[in-house]
Amino acid sequence: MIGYTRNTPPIPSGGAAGQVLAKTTADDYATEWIDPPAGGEFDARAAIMATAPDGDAVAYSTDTLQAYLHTADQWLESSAIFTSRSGPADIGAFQSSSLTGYGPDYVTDKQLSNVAIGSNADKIEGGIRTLIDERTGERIAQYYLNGAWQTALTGVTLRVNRVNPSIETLDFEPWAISVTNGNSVTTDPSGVPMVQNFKIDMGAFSAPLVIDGGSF
Amino acid sequence: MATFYIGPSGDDANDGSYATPWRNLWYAVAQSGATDTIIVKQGVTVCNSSHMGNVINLNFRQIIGETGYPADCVIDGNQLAIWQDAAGDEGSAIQGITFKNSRTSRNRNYFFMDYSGVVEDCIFEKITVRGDPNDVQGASGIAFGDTIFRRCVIKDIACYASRFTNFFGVRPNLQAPHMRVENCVIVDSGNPPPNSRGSSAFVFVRQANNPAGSYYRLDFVNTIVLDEAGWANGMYGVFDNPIADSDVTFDHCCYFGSVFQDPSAVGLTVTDTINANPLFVDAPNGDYRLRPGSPCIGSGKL
Repeated sequence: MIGYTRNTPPIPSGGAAGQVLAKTTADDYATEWIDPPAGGEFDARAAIMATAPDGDAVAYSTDTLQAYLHTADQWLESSAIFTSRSGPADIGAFQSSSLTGYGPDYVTDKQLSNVAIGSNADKIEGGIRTLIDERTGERIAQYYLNGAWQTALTGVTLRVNRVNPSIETLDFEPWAISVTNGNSVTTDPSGVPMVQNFKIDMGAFSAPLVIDGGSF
Repeated sequence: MATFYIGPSGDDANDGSYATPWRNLWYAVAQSGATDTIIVKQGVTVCNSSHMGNVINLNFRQIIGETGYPADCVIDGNQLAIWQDAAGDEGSAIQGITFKNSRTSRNRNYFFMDYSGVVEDCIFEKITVRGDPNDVQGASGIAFGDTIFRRCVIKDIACYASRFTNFFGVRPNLQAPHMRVENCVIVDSGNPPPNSRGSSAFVFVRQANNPAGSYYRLDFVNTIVLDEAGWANGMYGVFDNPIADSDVTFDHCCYFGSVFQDPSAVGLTVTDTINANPLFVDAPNGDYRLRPGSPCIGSGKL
């Protein structure tokens, strides 16, 4: 037979539908019926800021469309703004995410500041990357355009092309150099462009251009 | 402006066509006209050595390797000096050919171009240049006069029995010749000839016995000079009083195993030049491409 013993304190009487039992002190059996804590507040930002929750709380601003977190006696404001959209969020959590809607327009109408461009293993039209040219040890910037990585022009000095180059001129022979990748039309005796990335080696043979451990 | 051919299966009794090429370069030059083109077919063409002492005068001729790559088109045993020595003959060219196991006759430079000629994408290997020990005028070497060398490999050249032995022999004159050596590799040719006389240097300017007002200019640009230490006067030497003016420049070059005995010598200008191992991939086996980390990578003058 199961029942209360004579010394078992009873559950407090009273209470209303939906209320829950809560401790009033650390003492044994010190309880009371209270309303369940709210799951969050939806209000204008000013109204949220005017509240001082007793403990942690979350809120959503219906006028600024931002989320708020109350902790350590202060409100923290999220930098993200919630927008109405039929699809999922426009920025995936991970580059490898397969989220529906993850596409080329996932970042639009934004300005990037204080960012740096690194490597890029994807050969996608319009791709950009920076990398170290192992031939020269200098960092270069490239765009992936029309099926190939094209080197951005930096630090290039244009010179007047002589119509009739003469052995008597002291300048080197005029090179025909692609302005997209910095390579010369003239090749060395093994077929490698003499000028690569607007640089030329000493000697008769140019070192192959090495990028990301591979050779062209 | 006809085109003729020499090739590995050639015979000078042929007609010089692609199907039935000639064998010897000297014969092709003799049979062709001044503005014709002679194409060296792919493979190794072994020349007949019975024409020692003859001279090939290029005039306007173009001598071109069939593929454009010197490793493909080889002339073995050409015994002739290649000359270009008539006014108005400017414009001859030699491109994409390997010359090896050659030997000139007495007092003949391998190249003598008093009027502009261009040598591009060629390999010269094991060439013996014979001088004249009694010629007070002569200065024998691989090249002499108005020549542009571009992207050439010049190795294992022996110059001997010359009163003034040199690799690049220059002598000022009133024609003011100007030689340029651009993006070349010059290697292992500094063995002092045991029976040479007089002075010797990798670049030797012979100044005496020239008319007042003579001038000569020789420019090395983006060129690597390796193991040319054997010359008595180092990489640059001048003989006799400088009654004639001359300028020899090394600009954006690399030399290793070689020395300038006097970098401040009269007429010599050395600019942005490094003395360091160029780090070839495999120099002993003729692979003169640059290894990663070579100080010559990206260090040339554009």
